[in-house]
Amino acid sequence: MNIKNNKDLDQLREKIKPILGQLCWEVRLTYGDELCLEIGKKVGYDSPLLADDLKGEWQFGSRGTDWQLLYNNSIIANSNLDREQIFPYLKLIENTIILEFEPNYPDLTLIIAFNNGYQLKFIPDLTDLENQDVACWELFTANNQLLEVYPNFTWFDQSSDLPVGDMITV
Amino acid sequence: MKDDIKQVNEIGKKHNLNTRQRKEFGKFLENEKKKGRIGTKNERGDYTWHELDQKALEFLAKTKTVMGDDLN
Repeated sequence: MNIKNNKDLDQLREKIKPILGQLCWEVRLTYGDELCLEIGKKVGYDSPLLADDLKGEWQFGSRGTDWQLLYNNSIIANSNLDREQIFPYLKLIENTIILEFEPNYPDLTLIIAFNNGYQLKFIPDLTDLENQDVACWELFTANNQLLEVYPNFTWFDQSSDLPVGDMITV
Repeated sequence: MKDDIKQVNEIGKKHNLNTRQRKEFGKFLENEKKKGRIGTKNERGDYTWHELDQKALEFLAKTKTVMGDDLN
């Protein structure tokens, strides 16, 4: 769906709504230093290789988008820090409840607010023409869909059973 | 960062992973690095294209073996 105004994000907001009030129980940097949030009921992975791991019914991925961690509107950490510097800050938002998950127009920023006063703000670089095919962020949902917002002002809701090569991204 | 993410996506396309499997493959890579089985792309131990390709084959082969049938 094309995003031409704030209202074009309303349908996306509706699909995200069930995440509000859910517990964010793990926050970590995954491969490629992508920020990953595990949210909601803990479930097992499909792959037997991951038999010892659990994931959230909702899984958020930052797809390499710059982010800031805020408290009382002050920036206390950001994605430019070294991994080792970032780790303690990520712990601050573990085991907190998600109060807000708000995509914004016209800058396509995303704010995730937690019940302990912290916020994550994701700030896509809309001028990065080389990476228009990488989502600003992605959210695997509890009903096996994948929500994505792209820097070319589109968003998509597609089945997570779809092959990566068949996903619509433009 | 975006570079590595794009590479995993491209590997996912090459091996016909669905997006959920692509996500699980990313978790597998994360675990592999934690176990010391790192790549040679950079100081972070990320994987080159060839190494990612090999990792994908490993991910799929072991999953097929345990599951007993073709994942795809």
